[in-house]
Amino acid sequence: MVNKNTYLIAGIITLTLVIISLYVGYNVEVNTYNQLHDQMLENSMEGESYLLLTNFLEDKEIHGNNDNMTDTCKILKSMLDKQSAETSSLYNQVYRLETSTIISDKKKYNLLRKQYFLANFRLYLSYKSYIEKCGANNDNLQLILFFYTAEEECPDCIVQGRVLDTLRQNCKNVRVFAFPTDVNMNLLDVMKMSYKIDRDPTVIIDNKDVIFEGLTSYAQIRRYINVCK
Amino acid sequence: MRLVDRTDIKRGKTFKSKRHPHYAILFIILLMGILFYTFQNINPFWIVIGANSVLLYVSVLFLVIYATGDELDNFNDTNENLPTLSVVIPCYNSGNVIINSVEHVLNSDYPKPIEVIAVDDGSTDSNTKEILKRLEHDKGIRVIYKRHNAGKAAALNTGIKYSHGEYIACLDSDSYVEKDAFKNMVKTMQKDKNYGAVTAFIKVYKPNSFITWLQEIEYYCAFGFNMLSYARLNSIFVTPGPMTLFKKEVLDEIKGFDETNPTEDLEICWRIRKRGYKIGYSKDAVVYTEVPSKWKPLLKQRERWYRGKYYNVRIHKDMMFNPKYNIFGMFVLPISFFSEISAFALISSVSYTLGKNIFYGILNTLGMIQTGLSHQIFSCLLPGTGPMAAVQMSAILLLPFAFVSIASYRMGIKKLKWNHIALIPVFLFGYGVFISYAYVVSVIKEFYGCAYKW
Repeated sequence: MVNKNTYLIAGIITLTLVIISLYVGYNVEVNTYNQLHDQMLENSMEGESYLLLTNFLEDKEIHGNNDNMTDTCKILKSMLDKQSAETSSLYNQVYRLETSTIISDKKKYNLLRKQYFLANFRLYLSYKSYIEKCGANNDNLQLILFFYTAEEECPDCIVQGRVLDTLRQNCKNVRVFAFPTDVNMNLLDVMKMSYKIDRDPTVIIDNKDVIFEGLTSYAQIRRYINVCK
Repeated sequence: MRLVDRTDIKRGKTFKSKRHPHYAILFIILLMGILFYTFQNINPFWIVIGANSVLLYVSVLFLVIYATGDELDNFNDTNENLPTLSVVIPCYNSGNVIINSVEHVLNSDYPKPIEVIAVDDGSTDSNTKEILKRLEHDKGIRVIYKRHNAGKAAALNTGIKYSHGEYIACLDSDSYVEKDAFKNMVKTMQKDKNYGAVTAFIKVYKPNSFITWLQEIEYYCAFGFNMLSYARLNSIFVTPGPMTLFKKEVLDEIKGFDETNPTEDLEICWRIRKRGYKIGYSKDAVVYTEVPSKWKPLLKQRERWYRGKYYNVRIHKDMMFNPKYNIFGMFVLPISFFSEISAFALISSVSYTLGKNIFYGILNTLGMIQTGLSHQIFSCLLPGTGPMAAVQMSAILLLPFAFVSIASYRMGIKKLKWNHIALIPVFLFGYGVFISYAYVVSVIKEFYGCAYKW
């Protein structure tokens, strides 16, 4: 027959295994979060350095010291494109990690998401400043702002996102910057007010001052894209 | 009210039952509602872990018992006072395998003559009848011919009725005993006068395909490692159909097998236990049995086994949580249903996650959604998958199951090779999902009241 202590020993071993697994799982999530946080910081620093660089170049222009605008624009463009790819990948990582978190508190991912939106807005401003400085420079860059609802059900937002994805794939010179209208952030509130956004989804073609409220087809938006490369 | 009616059958192997589709539909709707609400609020990973936590404890308990338990087979190695033995082999269209089975019985080193009784359960195959006649003439076994097929339990009862041995071994026609199996089982039976039956170590006969290799590990776990642990807890769950040794007086007392039961081997074990007898285990008594080599017959077999458990729990529900039956009633029998709960948790979690992935994958293919920007709004192609924390945690929590598999292998094969170790993860993950699926299908079919089929 089996000793009664056997049941207790088995229980202790089982509990120990569970605690170890929880500890390991928690540490894995914390490390993953920290890595993502560091990537966000790095992305932020690159964004800051771009803006500082543009200020520096402006200063050189004023003093008539910038003879090589073409090369400068090339460098700026490659910096922007690299940032654009990194920023997009950052959001995918934030979303995936947030949904797959099982032990840690999910609320800390809200902060990362807000950092992403700041990075996205900074990227948008950087592109605007690039276009002004380099005069589109045969790139014919076209910026589009896309406002959607994240927290509530919005099938039109999903379809609109698909439409803009298709546009981006077909026209490599188009850049789309997506911002949710229902996240609590001052920056986003100010953007909503300044563009008078009261319906989701809303698409704004930047330099054309064209605003589409509600679901808009690919053909309608494409009409306002002069050059599609 | 029973959901499945037991109908006495004069012929044929199928147990007819009333169909109750409305019970099944209600059950499925209720279950889907509960599961959907749960998955919306709790990560599926926790649901699987929670359901598996009890099985985790059982695995650890069995490992501790295995490591610290006393040897069971301590008996005098003499051939004195060994009882007379009868071997009953029911047969239905199994002429191609019964020869082998009888040969192995006759080659046994049991020191007394063995009475071999084959019961032809209304075989329709003329080859089987010819083979039985030849065995009767050449090997001197007794063959009882039944006119109509009435099922294995009825065939066994017929054989028992005509047997003369003090101990009766009920052997399947596709099972082959090792030379010393009978001797070992008889000596185990004699070790404790309260034993009413003794089970053997059932192994897979000549595994030669992926599906049979997986079953090989499963049999080592179930009939080797787990059976040893159950024996040490005096809580053996089943007297396996391939081969079990009974005392004739006990069989007479309980009036043999239940002929209307789809899993007569499980039912008789519980009935013997209810009479106050114990069930022994002889790990040195090895019996090889043929197993399904295709997935469909395997699934059918498992459905019958698992449905048999639910069927018999309804008949013997007084054993559940009954302190009269000690560890068996208070722990082993209730815990056995955690396999089903765990199976439901696993299958529903996998279905929920895969279902969402496939659904949005189809939408993506049809061009209704795309990744990229729309991915920023909702990422549905990979919801909740690939969390590294879950992978790490699962690896730790699956360790006991891996150790059980290795310990089981060690019982079955003395020397482990690398190909054996490599099969263990496949067994734990892949085969575990298949068995979970079989559990889920069994529960639904039992609710629906489907006929049992062999």
